[in-house]
Amino acid sequence: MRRLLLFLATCLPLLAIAQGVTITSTEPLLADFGSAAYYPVLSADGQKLLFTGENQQGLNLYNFSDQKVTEITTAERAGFGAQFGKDGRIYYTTQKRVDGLCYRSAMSYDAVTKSTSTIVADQRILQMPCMVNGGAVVKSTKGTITTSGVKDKGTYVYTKGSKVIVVKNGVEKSYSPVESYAGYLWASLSPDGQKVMFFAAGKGIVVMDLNGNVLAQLGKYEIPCWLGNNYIVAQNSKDDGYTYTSSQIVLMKADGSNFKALTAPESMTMQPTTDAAGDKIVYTNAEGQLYLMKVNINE
Amino acid sequence: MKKILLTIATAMMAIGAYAAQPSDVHIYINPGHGGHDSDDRNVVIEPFSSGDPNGYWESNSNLAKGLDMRDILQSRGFKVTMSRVTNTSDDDLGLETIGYLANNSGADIFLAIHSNATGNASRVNFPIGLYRGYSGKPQVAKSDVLANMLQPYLLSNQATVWTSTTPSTYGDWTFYPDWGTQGLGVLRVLTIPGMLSEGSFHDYIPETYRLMNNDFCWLEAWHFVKMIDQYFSIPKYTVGNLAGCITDSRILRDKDYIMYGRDKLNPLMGAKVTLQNSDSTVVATYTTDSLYNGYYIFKMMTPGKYRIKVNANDHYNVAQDVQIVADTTMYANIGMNRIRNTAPEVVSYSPVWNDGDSAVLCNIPITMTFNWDMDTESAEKAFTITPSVKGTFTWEDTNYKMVFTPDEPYQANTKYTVTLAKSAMHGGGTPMRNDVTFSFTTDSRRFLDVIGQFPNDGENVHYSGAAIDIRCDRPINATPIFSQITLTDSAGNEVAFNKRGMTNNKTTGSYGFIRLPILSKLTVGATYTLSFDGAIADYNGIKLENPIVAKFKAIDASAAKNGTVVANFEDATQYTLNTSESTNYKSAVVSNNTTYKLFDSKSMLLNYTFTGTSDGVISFNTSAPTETFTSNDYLGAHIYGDVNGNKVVAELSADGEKVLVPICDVTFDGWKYVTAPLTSLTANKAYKLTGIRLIQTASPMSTTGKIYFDNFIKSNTGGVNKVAVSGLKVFPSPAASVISVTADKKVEGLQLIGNNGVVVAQSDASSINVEGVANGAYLLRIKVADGFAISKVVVAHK
Repeated sequence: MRRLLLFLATCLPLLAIAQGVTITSTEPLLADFGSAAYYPVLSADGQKLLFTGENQQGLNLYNFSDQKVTEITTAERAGFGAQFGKDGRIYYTTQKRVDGLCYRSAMSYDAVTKSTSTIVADQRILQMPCMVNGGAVVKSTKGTITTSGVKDKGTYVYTKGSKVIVVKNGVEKSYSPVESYAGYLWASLSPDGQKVMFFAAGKGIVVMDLNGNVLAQLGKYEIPCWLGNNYIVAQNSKDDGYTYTSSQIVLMKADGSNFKALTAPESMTMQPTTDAAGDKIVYTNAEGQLYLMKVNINE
Repeated sequence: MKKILLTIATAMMAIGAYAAQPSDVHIYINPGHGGHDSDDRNVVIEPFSSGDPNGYWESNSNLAKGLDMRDILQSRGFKVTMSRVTNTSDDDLGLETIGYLANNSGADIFLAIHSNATGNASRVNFPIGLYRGYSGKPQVAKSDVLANMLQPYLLSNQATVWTSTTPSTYGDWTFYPDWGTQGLGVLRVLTIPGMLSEGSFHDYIPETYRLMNNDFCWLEAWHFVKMIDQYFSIPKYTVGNLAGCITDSRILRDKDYIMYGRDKLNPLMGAKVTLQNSDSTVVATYTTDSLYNGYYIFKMMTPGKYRIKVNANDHYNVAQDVQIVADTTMYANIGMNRIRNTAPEVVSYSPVWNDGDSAVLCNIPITMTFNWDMDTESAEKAFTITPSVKGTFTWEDTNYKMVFTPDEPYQANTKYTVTLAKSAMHGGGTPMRNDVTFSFTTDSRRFLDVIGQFPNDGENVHYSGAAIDIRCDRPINATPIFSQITLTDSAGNEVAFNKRGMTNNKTTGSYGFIRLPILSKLTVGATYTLSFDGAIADYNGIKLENPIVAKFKAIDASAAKNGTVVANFEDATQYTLNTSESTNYKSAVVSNNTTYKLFDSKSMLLNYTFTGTSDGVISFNTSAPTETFTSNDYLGAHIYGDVNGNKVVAELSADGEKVLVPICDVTFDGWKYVTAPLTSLTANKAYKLTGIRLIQTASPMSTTGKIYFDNFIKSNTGGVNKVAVSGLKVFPSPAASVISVTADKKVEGLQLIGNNGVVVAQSDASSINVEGVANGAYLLRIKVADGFAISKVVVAHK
């Protein structure tokens, strides 16, 4: 009997957590925008949203407070991997082609002054900018460039091929804890800076500590993002080798438990993004309609 | 080919001249699918079974092409990134993941390698290039340029057989309209120019076998590289390739899958192709594989004049001068002549018949099997049959077997002599040494005879629960029957059958039958046309002599009639089998039935089986009807027939005298109202209906069946009124061949009735044929719109 009581005591909080994940509202976002919206990126405070068009050309900023959309740029590729910096600026890349060769530039945008700055222009090799305290770090053919406002970079992560790079106090360490020929994607640090999540192509989402120790492998879900420090939201898509046959937004704990489907597979919902507080999820669907979902996690 | 080269040149001008070195360029290659999973594509080909990982999988050939492309590009200094280099389930990446990986890689262009399938029974073979967006409006600029530029290179491949050489490129939103702007998943995320190539159709089986050869896949990879060179204006190769397929020069591939052009020729496996330079030094060899493609290639050879020699088992060696041109793939598809070192002989033939043997079927095909594949033209010219018969030649077993099929059945009981003159040659041109002659005699049966049919031309059919029926002297092959029987209404619209309700003979039996219910109720008063195709045949292929067409009218057999119901058959226990007057029967049972009925709640079913095919009688007695009949009356009966042709006879009795009055021959299916005049009764005497008999008609189909009875009606009009018809003329009398009737009213039909009350002939017109009617005096019942008239006539043949 004592063993049974001990077992129940261990399980009851888990059950409570599972029951505590509730969707409080879901509503269309920017329904009157007039064109399809894809690849949304929610700011950490949940007050701003970046999004782009069908082919990731151009970048728009939506402000929840005044419900206005500002066009940041119409540049090619600007919507791919755009990010909110910790310094309040918006970082993105652009691309041009000369004689068939692609050249990329790293840019930043100040939403207050509505001014654009070029961090580095026309590089053949350009890593996506890494967000650090006070700005961004950009690696390119020219080497590593740190934007002017950066004093203490803190801890940040990025992927390179089949490696995840953890930079802590200026020291870079690379890890390949899961074998993946095709490479890693979507590396991110949990809001409390204690866990690293990335996606290993062919293997799925991996959660590890800052020393490269794998804490959990969560399955072949794409585009993962943190919802608070303990939960992860991702895209669960199926295809027939040519096109998507289903796509939904799912949620799970960082240890892989408490899996919950937030949308139906046939909804063709995709590309989730979250805020740091863990109460907002924005995603789009195949037609480019954005949705705002508010959730309540009662831990 | 000129068209393809022109297209290449045009495409080059359109793109303009980029200027890059290979080391400047980064290519991302995505070999489509992976892992032999459910979203992979497996085509089952000999000798592999379904799901065999060593058989054909699209993921395998896509990967072979991708790896070859990587190797060729890297050997020139290109930077290459691939989405996979192995073929496991883990390599089957999410489509959007692949796009993100390509974007992150820093590549300049993205190429997804696939092959196509029709998804239906048709087979084609040509390449298709797809890019994201609507056709002509790519989402990422230059993606359409890649697709357009690749097509001419792929179409220049002469080692395959294309069913179309028109370049085919589309935006995926246009090509897959049902997907909206979702499009191809792998192209969704791309921010770099990219395309998905369906290089050929992997379910076109000759192509499937070629795609099993990695060197054939290499050739497609080479064509991709040529496109990349052109796109980035990379300097030309200083080497070239020579490729082609080795086939027999005339023997056809002995397979039943769809083949086009050169693919119909038998590919030679294990053929050794040797490449010699101008001083006869062997510089390379290639042996064709064992997977039915005959493909060979010499890659990256120094340009110049060469000679190829080909050796293959059982074939004469071939030598051919070729030229290898820098930056180009040249082709030499070679057909090899088989060694046929003896004269052709007929090694067997059919039919084999000797005096005293049983005669052969009148439609039997004549076959001859040879020791060599034959020259069909000379063999067909050398063939004669006496008496002369028109027929059709077909060839089997890659021309080792000739088949002559007569267009019409041979004459019955006739001896035919077949000769193949020695002028017949094998494929190598050598004639036979001697003529070959054989004979056979045909049997007496040329056609499939119809022994029963419903409805016949001009017949009436009860509108509800109707069925059509055909009976033949042999079991009918029912396999193609639904395409051989058609029913149309008066407007020519097809009337559907209840195909699942069909009953038919087994493959063996003494006769054949097909009964096919009509799906819906017919329209009372409407006319229909039933057609039995002349191709209806027995299991030996013996066909009907002619097609049969029967027009019939739908009626309501339960419509009200004049007269009194004398028996309603609601209680079958009132009918008892009279064993003393029944003969040659196995079983005879009457029972009430609620499914097949016309009136009230029940009919009476007679379920019978005679012991043989003739001389059977089943007699039931009853005392139920109290009504009396005289010779002026008619007895009408509602009977549901079984087409077996047996006779229903009424037994009427008075003072110990029994008179048997034939009511009908049951040659119909479904309900019918039949009437019989009781003129054979003794005048002025009252009779009662005391029994019903079923008298067997000698026929293989008369042995067993089911007949239903419903209301019997006594009338003195035969169901309609006797009326005065002015201007009535019946002539001639006596008559030997035809009796004609004219009147002021339209004559709608005639019945010739014997003294025994039996209708011996009838017609739906104003004349009636009496050639087959015995001499004697008859009553002619003349039907007009509002009733009938009676006239006495005499039939007298000279």
